[in-house]
Amino acid sequence: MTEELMLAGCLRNNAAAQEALYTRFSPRMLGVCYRFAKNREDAEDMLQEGFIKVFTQMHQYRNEGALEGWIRRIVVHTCINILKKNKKFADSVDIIHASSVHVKEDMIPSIMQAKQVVDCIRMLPLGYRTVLNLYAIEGFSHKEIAHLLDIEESTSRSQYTRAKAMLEEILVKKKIIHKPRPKAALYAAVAPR
Amino acid sequence: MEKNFYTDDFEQLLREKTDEFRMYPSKRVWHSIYNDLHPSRKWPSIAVSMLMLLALLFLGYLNTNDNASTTIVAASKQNSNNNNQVKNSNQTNSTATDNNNGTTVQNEDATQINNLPATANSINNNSTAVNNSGTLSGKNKENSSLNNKPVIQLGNRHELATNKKGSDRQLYASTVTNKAKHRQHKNGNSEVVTGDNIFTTISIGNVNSVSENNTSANNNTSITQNTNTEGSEINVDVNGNNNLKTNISDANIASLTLNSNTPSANNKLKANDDKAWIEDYALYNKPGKNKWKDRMAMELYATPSIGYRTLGTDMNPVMPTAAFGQALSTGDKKISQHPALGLEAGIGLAYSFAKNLRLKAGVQVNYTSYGVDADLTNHPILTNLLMNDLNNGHTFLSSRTSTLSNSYGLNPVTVHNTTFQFSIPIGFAFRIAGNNKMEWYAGASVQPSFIMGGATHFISSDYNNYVSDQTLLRRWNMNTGIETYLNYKLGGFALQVGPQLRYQLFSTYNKKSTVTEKLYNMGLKVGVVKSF
Repeated sequence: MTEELMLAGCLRNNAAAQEALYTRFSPRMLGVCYRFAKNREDAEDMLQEGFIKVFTQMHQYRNEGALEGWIRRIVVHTCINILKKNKKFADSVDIIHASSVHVKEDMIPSIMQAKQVVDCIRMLPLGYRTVLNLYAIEGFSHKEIAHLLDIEESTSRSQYTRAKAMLEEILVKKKIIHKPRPKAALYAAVAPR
Repeated sequence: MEKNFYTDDFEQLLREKTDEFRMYPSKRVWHSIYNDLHPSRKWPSIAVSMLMLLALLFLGYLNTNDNASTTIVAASKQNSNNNNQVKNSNQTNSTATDNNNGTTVQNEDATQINNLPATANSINNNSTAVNNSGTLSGKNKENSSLNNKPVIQLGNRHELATNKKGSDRQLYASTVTNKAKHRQHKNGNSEVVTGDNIFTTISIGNVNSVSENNTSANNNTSITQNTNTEGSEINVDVNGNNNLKTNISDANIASLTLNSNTPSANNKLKANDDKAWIEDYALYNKPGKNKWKDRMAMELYATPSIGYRTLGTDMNPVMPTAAFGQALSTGDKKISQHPALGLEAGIGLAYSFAKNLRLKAGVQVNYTSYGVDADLTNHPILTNLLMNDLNNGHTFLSSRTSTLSNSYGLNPVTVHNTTFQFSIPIGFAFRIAGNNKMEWYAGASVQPSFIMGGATHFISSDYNNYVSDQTLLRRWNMNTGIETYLNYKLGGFALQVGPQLRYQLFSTYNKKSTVTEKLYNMGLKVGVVKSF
């Protein structure tokens, strides 16, 4: 089903079109949610709520920019709002549920490394992880992050700097990347715009 | 959200690798999304539920044949609701997608500067409706018409009321700040797209022209817009203090002055504007929450149970001594009885009064039954029932005929003593433990009950026969119930399963009867809870 057909079907609240759109974009969006969430279960909850918003707000998509980008923005905002709403996350994963999950991750070295990078990102503390996800990956500015997370802009910058340093250290230890550049170069890269 | 192109290698690596990363969600996620988008296809209608209950009661009624040829076990099976689709007219979540005039976008954090009621149809120079120091404000609900009240939201809102074709005049306004461009289409819709602009629009009536304004933030902004076919023209000025002034040339439309005078209000307005832009830009819309709805849930449940009784005597002190050889103590020793299947089914509301406490109330129908072994005689037998005389306080023997013998003979039968009850259970449930998915509750309730009917077979005074007499049934009774159950959350609804004990406080029979009987039922409650 083409994207146009999916859009038209979703606007008519057609279940088949909605499922097709969900099937196409959910793997990547779950990857986005997984970077924000504490565990897979929380990530799926974020994905669920995000897609519900996507389908209920589908009429507001104006074909300006890629559909995936529009969906991704909604999902990211959903993740942020859930993180802000929840005081704490579930302590453990539902083992019974986890065993029934069907995970299809190709065993291609580049994908393996991608999962490793994502796992390293998830090892960061929640605040560092969130700021790093929003700034380095999703493209938010520090000002936008500050408003989104109700923090100061300077806090966003400092958290990102620390997050980046910590992530580099983790990636080096896991031998995913080589030793990072000297700190002078690192700070130059994150100079305010 | 602006797209920043990073030159840093490390960040480039992060973006590349995370873009490659995929995870496949479980089927539960899609099922939950589907059920949320199409609720009418999973949730049975009240009519179907009532039909099920009536069918169960009818089955029970068939079981109350006084000739009692065979034992009837009242079987209750919960029908699958998958094949019973009741289509509702509209889904609550659906927006007017076929409405070419578009819809509004809500923002629950909208700032209201001042409040001034007015009606769109009667906006005039009347100072009681509008004055220079007042403002217009209000919340614009999704798809709401503005025939009675104008909707102007300052600060956070940027989307406005719908413009219905040929509708009455509608007054609406929007303020969008920071990097946004407002485009107004001919069909009356307004939207926010990317840009580096701040502007404010106020328009009245149907919008027939497209206007854009690319002025910078926090400066005086002026917009002139021809708004409707009636020729009204509106000039809008926004100064650095976010004061919004409109001079409407139409004589029938009052001058509107909107003020935000305090510094804290200004700061809050700016922060809220920025926040609103970010949220609105991503087209995130979180509907306003209704507090009571968040705490309320509807329950639909059924409890197949095993019913039994405790039997005793309730005789007045004075009794004729010549009537029978031994006094009635407990009839259990002389009577062969065994439990039978009963059913309770109901619907109720649960209100979360506190974090771990729920108050419940609802309506319920009950079917109670237990079996008594007897022997069918070939001819009617004259026997006596020991009764209480309510007038003089004595007991007396009432002559009756019976075809059921309390003995083992050639024609064994099992007769069922049944009742059909309508109850109003009122109680509470206390959350003992649990997490986001699974919770453990314990609860209790009292259930005032009305006995609609039933079948009764009394043991005769000499314990030799059974006599049927419906007039001895007590019409009003009180039941109590205690239960414990697990509450498992599945998307928008929850499943409850757990044991329940229900005990009848007063005798099944009225004061005329010297026999007291109290029913109790032990069952497994299965319920479905749906939050509002």
